[in-house]
Amino acid sequence: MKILNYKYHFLFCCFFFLLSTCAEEESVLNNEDLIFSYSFQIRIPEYEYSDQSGTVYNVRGDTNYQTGYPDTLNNMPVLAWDSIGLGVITVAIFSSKPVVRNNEITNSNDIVWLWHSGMNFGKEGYVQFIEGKNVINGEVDDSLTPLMESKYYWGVWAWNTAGNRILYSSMPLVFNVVN
Amino acid sequence: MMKFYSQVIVLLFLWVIGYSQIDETLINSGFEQKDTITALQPLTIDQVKEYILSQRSEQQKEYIGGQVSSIFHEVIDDATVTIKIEGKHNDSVKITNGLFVIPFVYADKEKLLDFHIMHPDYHPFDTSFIVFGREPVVLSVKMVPKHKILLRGRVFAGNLPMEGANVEIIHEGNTHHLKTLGCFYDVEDYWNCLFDGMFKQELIADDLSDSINLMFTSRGMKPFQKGMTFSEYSGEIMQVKMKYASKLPEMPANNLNLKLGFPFATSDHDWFVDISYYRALNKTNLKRIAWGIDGSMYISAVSVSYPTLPNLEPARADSSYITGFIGPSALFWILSPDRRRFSTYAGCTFSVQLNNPQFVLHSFIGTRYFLDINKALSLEFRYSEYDRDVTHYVFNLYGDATHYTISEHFIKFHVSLGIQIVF
Repeated sequence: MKILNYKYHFLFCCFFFLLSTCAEEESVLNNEDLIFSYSFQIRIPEYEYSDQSGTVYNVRGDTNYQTGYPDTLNNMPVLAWDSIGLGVITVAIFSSKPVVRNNEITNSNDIVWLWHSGMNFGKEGYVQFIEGKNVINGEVDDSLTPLMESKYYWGVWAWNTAGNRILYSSMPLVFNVVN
Repeated sequence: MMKFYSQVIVLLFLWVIGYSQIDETLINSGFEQKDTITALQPLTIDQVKEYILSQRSEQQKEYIGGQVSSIFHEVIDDATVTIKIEGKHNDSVKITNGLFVIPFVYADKEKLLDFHIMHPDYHPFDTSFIVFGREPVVLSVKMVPKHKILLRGRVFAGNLPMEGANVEIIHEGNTHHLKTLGCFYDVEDYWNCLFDGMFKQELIADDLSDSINLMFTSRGMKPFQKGMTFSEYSGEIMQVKMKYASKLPEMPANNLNLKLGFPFATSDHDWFVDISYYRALNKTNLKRIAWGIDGSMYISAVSVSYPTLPNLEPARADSSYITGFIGPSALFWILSPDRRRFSTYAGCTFSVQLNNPQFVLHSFIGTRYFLDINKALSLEFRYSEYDRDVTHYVFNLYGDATHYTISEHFIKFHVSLGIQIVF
């Protein structure tokens, strides 16, 4: 009977305490700056790219969002971000600022161009315009048309491994297209 | 949710363990220990003389007196002192506190005095001397003890000291009946288990080849016998291990179970928790049938697969489902429940599913192995089928996946380990 003394009660408690704490998930903080506010941030660094004529365009990344001043890019921009290593990820260009309600983009009809990790070209973290596709009325189309002169927004979001929840997203960045 | 259920499991374990200790605490709470006796120290010769003079009356008598102690300077009590004067019996007294005084009639001439002391633990002391004069005779007698041992031992049930075991020590036709000690609250109010399961008996013998027989009995244990000679006892505390009898001392009426099924032992890698109570039918012919209540719970991880983006592998979403059941249960003991080893049972529980009201039949077969008198480990195979809602998903390119539920049929077959307490 001595085997069941208080020392063993304590060990039982420790064991089940560990069991109960190991199931805890890393909590996601609310960040209203992101496209999906309850997600981890995908960082977009400052980078440059050049078009076929050799003109260099500068993308200021997350700094762009903080200043609110749009970048000026060509009609077939290159989009880049810090790779996060997740398998299901999407980057899109909007004709208006993305609006999210209940963790879903409600103005998907405003998406004009999209790339996702299921497409045949492009790699997660660096995508050229020609590697994505046009979106018409929220549906991905096989066509590819360069952007017209206008103001656009772009952003990146990614799902968890189960594919049922947005786990990462970037800030919505704004740019103007000039031909 | 997992956290909550882990805490419930902790509480259940602590409750079951605490419950099993109640009887022991109650039994021991009134125990008192009287284990230390301080030996009397012999007096000086002047103190003895003073004592004899204090016993002197005004009558014309003289006294012979003194102190009796062992060669190890221990005062001897209850010895009988006899004196004969000129071969005639004069008087005999019992010694108290090691001192004695015997009056005798004085005569003017020398007289021969025979002096004899008897004590069962010591060799007899005999001497003769001539007394003359009126001064009291003061003696200091040293007696030689016979062979004496303090036979000590500790009785174990398995590896645990066992209190209350009956110990019979047979020596020279005398039988000493003892019980092993338990824990107790000492004078400083500490719970003291120093003498738990121990016994001791002082034995005295003339001959070192005298035999000692020890007989140990206890409820629910096999009797244990040990024999030895006086000289074989080394003086150390004997370790006596008693074995459990093959059957319980009485047919257990109540049975409390806590069972746990681990993912490696279940068909769908589930966790399984079950708590149940059974009571045997109070009929001689039906004592192998028990009825009771059984509450069980499956913690299942269900994985659903669905397509996401073109050219990508389908995603797998894992969800945990807790499915609880409670209902009346009956079991039949295939092998008698008073067997200590592998008393085997089969039974079924007709239960209600808590989160999706439907009736579910669980059937099971199990066996148990007693660790001591009232605690046993059990191994059980259980089979059950039930329906429950499972969440499925549809991938959404612009946000979280949408979900819907489908009722699915589950067939569970698993092995569980448990602890049982019978009372």
